[in-house]
Amino acid sequence: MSEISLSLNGQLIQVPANASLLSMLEDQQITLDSVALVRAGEVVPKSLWALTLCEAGDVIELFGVVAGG
Amino acid sequence: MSLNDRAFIRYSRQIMLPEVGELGQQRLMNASVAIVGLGGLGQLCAQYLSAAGIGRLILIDDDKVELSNLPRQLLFSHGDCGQYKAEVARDRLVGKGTGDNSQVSAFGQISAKVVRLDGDNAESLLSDVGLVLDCSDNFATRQHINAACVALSTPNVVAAAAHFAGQLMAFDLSKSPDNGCYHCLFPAELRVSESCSTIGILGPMVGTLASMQALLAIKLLLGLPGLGWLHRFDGLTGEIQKFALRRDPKCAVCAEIKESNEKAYAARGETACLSALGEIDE
Ligand SMILES: [Zn+2]
Repeated sequence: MSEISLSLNGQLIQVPANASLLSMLEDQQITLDSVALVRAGEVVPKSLWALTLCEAGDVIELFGVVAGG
Repeated sequence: MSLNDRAFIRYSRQIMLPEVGELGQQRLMNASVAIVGLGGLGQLCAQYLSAAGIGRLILIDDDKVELSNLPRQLLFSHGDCGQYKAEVARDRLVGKGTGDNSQVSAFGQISAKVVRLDGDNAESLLSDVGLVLDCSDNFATRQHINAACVALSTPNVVAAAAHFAGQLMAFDLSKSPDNGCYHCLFPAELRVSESCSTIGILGPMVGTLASMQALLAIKLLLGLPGLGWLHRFDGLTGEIQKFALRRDPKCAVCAEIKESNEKAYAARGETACLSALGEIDE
């Protein structure tokens, strides 16, 4: 199967061409219930992760919530 | 009501800004704002907003001043330890306005509520303000504030800081529905590992976020842009990232509210069309 490369938190990774954001995160063994996701400068809400396909050259950032004050 | 001479002098550096002007200053002086949490964020936001002339401030916190607060919560002194933060903050801010013209500053219009905001009291605590600052120090309270702000259609300016990480964002479902709410970004079931009490923090780090939060709040009160973005500040690298917020169509907090708003708008639109048609017929 063909692969595409994308940037995840600054690291270049390879994923299957038809991978969803959700399957990519699972492949990377990300703890799903601890992160928010930004792609191309826009937040992608969690309910859309399974419906959104990764694209070659995507720049994706994950980050946790900061709650202190 | 126009500004009297003392007010004009006091706020002249703000009024001088074309983005503020005399009308903007009056807007600030007519504004009503709640600050939830009087810790590192809230104690500084309260000072900035009070000093900027915000008409009515409600300070909500059930914590007492502790020795370990003093390196970053500069409104408090050693002698305040053991006193309620909201009351100390109120007295100190009122003191700053004392002796000045009563029309100037929020003198006499700062109230303290020594109560822990929760799911039961959030809506009544925040029901009569035009803007809320989420300066709380834990995820559960942040969710309660958000739910209340969504239900009340009140703008919510959120800041947070821990370690060297800071986050700042503002939500207003009525003005900016596509950007969603706090729960769209950080659902309640998200796992959180830190808060200021469990992770270290430097005073200027939380102070930076508080200053950004106070600035954003003032901008929104003036009707300036600022909704719809998440800012992440890295205190180690000095880098600020800005991301567009997006509503979660399945959000448990705001999805229904937005639908009912849309139906209301649609119904209103329909009525408007019908009455327009009626006028043409007549
Ligand atoms: Zn939402």
